[in-house]
Amino acid sequence: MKYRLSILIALFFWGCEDQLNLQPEQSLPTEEALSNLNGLETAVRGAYSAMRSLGYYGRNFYVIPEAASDNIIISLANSGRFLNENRYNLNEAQTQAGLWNTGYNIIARVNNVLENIDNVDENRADEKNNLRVQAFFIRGLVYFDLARTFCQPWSKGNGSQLGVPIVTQTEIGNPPRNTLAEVYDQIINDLTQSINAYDAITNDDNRWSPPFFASKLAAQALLSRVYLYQGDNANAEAAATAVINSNIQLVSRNSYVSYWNSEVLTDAGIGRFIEDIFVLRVLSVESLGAEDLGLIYMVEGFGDLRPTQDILDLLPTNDVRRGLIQNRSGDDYIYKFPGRTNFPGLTSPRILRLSEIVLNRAEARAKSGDVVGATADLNLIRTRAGLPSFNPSASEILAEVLLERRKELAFEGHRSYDIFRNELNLERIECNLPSGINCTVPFTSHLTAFPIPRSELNANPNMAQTEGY
Amino acid sequence: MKNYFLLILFGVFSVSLSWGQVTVSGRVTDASGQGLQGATVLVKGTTVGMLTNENGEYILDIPATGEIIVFSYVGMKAQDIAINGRETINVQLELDDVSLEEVVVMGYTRTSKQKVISSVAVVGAEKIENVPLPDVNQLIQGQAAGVLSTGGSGQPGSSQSVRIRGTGSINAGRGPLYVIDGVIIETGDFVATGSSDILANLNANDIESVNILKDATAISLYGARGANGVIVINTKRGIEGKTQIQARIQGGFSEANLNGFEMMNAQEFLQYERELMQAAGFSQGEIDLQRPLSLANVDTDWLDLAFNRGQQQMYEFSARGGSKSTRFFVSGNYFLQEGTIALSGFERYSVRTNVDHKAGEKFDISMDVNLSYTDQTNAFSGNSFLSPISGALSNAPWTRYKDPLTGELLVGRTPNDNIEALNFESFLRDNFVRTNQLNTNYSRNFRTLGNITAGYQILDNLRIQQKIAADLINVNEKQQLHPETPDGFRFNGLVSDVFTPSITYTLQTLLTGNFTLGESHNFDGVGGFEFQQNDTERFLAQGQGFADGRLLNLNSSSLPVGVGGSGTSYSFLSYFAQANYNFQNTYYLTASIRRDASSRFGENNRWGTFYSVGGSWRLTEAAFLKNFEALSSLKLRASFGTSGNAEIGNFQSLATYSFGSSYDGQPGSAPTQVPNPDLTWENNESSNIGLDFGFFNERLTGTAEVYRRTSRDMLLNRPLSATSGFTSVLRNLGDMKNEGIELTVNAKPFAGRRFNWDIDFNISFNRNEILSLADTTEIPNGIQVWRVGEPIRSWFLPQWAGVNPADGTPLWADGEGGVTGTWEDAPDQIVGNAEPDFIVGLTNTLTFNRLSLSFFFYAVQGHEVYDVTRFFIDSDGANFGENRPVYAADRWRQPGDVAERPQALVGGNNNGNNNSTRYLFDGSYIRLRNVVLGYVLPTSWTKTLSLSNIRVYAQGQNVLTITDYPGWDPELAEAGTEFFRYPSSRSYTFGIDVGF
Repeated sequence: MKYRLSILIALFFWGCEDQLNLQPEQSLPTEEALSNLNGLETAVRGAYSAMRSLGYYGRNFYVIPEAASDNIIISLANSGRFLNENRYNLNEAQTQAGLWNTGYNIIARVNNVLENIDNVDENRADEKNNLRVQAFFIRGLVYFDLARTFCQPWSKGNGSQLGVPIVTQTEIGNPPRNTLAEVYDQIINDLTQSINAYDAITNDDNRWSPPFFASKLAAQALLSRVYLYQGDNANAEAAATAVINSNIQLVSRNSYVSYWNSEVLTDAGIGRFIEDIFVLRVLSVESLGAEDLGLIYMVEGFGDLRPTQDILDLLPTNDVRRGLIQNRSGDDYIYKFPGRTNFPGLTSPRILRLSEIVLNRAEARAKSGDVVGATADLNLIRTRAGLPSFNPSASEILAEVLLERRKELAFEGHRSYDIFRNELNLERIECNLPSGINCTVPFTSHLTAFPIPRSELNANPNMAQTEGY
Repeated sequence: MKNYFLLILFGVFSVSLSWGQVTVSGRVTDASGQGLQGATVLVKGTTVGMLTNENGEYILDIPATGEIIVFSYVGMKAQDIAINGRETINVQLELDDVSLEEVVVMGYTRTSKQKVISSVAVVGAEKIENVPLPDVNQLIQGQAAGVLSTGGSGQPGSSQSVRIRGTGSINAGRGPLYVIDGVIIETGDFVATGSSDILANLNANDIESVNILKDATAISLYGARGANGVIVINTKRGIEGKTQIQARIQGGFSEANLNGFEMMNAQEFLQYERELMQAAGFSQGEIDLQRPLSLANVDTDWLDLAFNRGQQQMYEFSARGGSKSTRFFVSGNYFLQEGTIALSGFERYSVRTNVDHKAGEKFDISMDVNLSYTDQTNAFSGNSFLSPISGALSNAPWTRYKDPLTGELLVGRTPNDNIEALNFESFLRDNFVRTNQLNTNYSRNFRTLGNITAGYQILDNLRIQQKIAADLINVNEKQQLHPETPDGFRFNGLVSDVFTPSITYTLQTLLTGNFTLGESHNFDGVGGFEFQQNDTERFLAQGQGFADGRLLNLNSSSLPVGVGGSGTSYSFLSYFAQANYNFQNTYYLTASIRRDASSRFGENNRWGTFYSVGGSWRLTEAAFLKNFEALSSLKLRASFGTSGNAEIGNFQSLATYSFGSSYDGQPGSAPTQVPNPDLTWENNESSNIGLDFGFFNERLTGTAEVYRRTSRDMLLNRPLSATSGFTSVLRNLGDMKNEGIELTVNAKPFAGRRFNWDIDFNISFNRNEILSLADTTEIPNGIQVWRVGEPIRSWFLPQWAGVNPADGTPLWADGEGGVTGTWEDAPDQIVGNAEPDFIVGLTNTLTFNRLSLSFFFYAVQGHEVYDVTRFFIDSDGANFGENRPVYAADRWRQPGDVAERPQALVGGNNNGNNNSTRYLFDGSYIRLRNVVLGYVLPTSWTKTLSLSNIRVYAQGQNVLTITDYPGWDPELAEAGTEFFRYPSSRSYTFGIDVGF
């Protein structure tokens, strides 16, 4: 008995030590995860998936420029969402920390990919270049979104004002803020590299297809907006022209409402997507539940964010865009993001579409004195909407282009940027706010940029806060 | 007395009255002279005997052959006494050193109370039995010095947190290790949604004792897992003798503890909203349009609708007995606690078998099996739209919940405040009365806890023991959103199933021995090896689109929306030894060592060594104290040692890419954490000095202890600049200490034949202080801060400075002695903390003949708590359209008013409801936690029913709470914040215990 027991016990001792090297079941060590092309492609999709975060294009970043503008009034009874932004009640504790953290997290994901592309042995230049198209585009877009959120508009310092830290390598450090000019150089450089990589691909099958992935067109389209924000009208016009002259087409008036009711719209005749240049895809299984984008506007959701009377007045019933506003029980609600069957409000946000690029060029032309060119672009959008074309004077053209831009791109995350980058004041006629709160925000205010989040200031001793906060 | 050692031998009555028979009577008492009820009095060599009555008295007819009477009682030394013609024999029984009563079980080892050097708090079965709460963590609240047990939710079965001697960690686990019958078991929460404590699967009536190990000599033997203390639970085992069978029945009800809280009625709320529109400058026309006076025609009390009376039930049957070679304990129990929110509750079915068998002289084997199944139905809580708590605190009283004519339950309101709308387009402002009945949210835990132990006596004083144990947990959760409810409508019904199986197995080998050198030098010791591995998997599936709301299972789903699975595991490999020495049973020394390795830690730091040393001196044995008559025992103890805290997540040391994300229907990956190959356990150093004393022949006993425990290399989420892509990294940084004093006193002011008074008292003081945070001195943590020199959970908030009497706007301290009207300009300051200064437990038990009354007070004092709910409900007009508590009407109205609340305006008043000390309150409370009135039926009645013992009782739980806290209930989870919380309940139950 004694010996049998001892043998049993001895058996237990052996084999236990190996059991201490357990490996996780749903993750891989970093070096293994990025050791081959397939791993890198997966990592790029991981960067796209992070763009769906609630704090970024999932909703908040797409909604805040509207909630903090003259397009939106928050209903009296509300769920408390976007009140601080609407009131310009901005401080270190109440800021777009979600965008800051997510943005740099995406940059880290992309940097990891870019650092490892050349380490992969596989001799597949096309696939590697495709990854560069995606990665550089994503990084350029994220830096642009960070810059326009956390930095004062370009014209307040012509680039010499504080930008955001530029991080292009995987590192754990405490970088200080670069200047805004340096950040814009980085953005333009990234987008240019994306275009160059696209051109270097020999077989078109190796390109991930738009509009759910980046393409040369997407990089050019974004460049036109970046140059516009920077006041570089010539380059903005050139980049926009490259997009407009490609084979992509504007959505027609007849299809306009169904375009907004669809994730993307295909032209049956040419078998291609129309209008959309870059759309961030959100599948039904990726729903954020009650926080899905459209629900903040719709009756079926919160219905908190309603169109202001002045934007309603700008959209007469003969304007096709009025079809995106619906009246329910006497109140008007925004149905630009109605979602899909069984998923009201679940939206793949449109980030770059052709109408914007046309308006970018109109604005660039108006600003550089090309009234004829600007008017042609402007009337393209006006007539598509069902409005008569007209010929504004040289003194009116810029205002008309900006007005048309407000109507066309309403609720798509442009409005407050468009006001402040044009050195205009935000003036709200009605705002449902307690008296004494910022119904009007002058261009000169520090509130035209969001403060750097307190969590970053606490963690990073080299981080400077924007003046005024 | 807790053990009804039933040996009523009815044979006594059938013995014929023969000539020469003698009657002997007398009384059996313990060392303090208190009568022992249920002691066995048996004439040796016969079947003649009886049990003593409640005063310890007996009368026995001695047959002619009888010469010796045997007096025995569990935990006491049996005595054989020759009759020698006497008619009265009074016996005082002495405690037995190795008996059940005196043994202190410490997991791997057991020792006697006399020998113990460690700091161990013992909670006996009598404190736990029949208390109508599901979780043993709730039952030990206030019963042991140095133990803080709190529950954050009144949801029956939800997680409890237990802290022993303060909070020992910031980012790693803070709860103790649990050991049941010698085996480390899984604890905590295994559910994906809601909160459920796996320990609630244990039937507390099966527990013999709960021993809480607090100091180094006790916890070091648990090495890398012992730092937060160890709770050793021992279940009842068989006792040699006639089988003792018992049935218990209990029933009652519970109600929510709302502390007199009231919401506005329709009239009050309408007036409030009209006034705040007026104050914000709306025209009279707009006011009459938005808030017409006719609204007040409907008045629904949503708070009343949210809560109801819950039922309590318990049925139990158990048997306990055995022979010389085989002993057993078996029990079966059903327990039900309905929640105070409709349709929430907790049910448990459990059975246990503990068998011990001696096969011959040297070999023994035992097996314990506990099967349990719990069904916990959760209320949707928090501020989700379908939560009854959120609804009760926000639904406007002028909305109806049912059609006044047909009685049909209405659905909810549209966002534009259509008051009686019958559609459910919006998920806002749900009618929870209706939704609650249609939706389901439950977790069902099935747990098998078993071990088999084989022991072999190699030599007379050397024993080897092998234990194999398994802890199998299967958790099945379901959440159903009915297609005809506002939340489910969007998906045409949504069903989520989550299945979590977890298996832990343990191999444990122990070698125990003892020897004596000469007459005075006694040695004993234990050496052991242990391996434990856990594998937990999780599978979840979600479907939507249901044709019929009655068919809410995944098969009927038209669209599967999510399938996911994950798995995780950990393992520990340990070697340990402990040696004890004593000199003449007066001076005691102990030393232990343990080496541990875990898969959780980085390769560079996988193995760790922990040790402890301790000693004690029984001063009563010393000559200079022999003359103090009043002093019956005195022992001084001291210990020092180390232990570790390994409770971090699994795989935290690796740099990993995880594959949980996707884009465009294809898998995506992302870096999940910063690598840390040096990651290791937190080290804990603890020192303890204790004094055990007994006076007046042990009628006044107690323990006083002082301790210090220092956590070093504390695992801390060090914030990183987000520009790295991460916001924090887990590092071994930081030191923290807890220091405290504990006092436990047991007194018997009266111990008479008829009247007894027993007092149990404990008080513990703990001071927590962060000593170092590596390269920084302060890490903000929401509205709290970790700062060197301050306790963990220090509140870090702007100081509220009241209301400006001139214009009714809020004011805060500007940090420079003045006030500011701008919240941004008010600096965060440390304004208190959520760690209690001291906790007290006091139990008084009064026994008069068969009647007994006990009441147990529990007090937690000197901490601050924060009510986040008030951000919504006490918000000066923000959250327009949502109802308010009655107190919100008391506010600034006109210049000159000195008011507690700012002027109420649509949209709120100048950030007045932002975080500040406005919502920080003193969380101290004293609570009558438990009161029991019991009556033991007279023996004559019981005998008529052929039963041995019947006790009936009435019991109240949480019947009285004294507090300044203005919220629902001051007992909060350890973080000290209140947020749309399921309040705790007050219950009244009635029960009967029957012994067969």
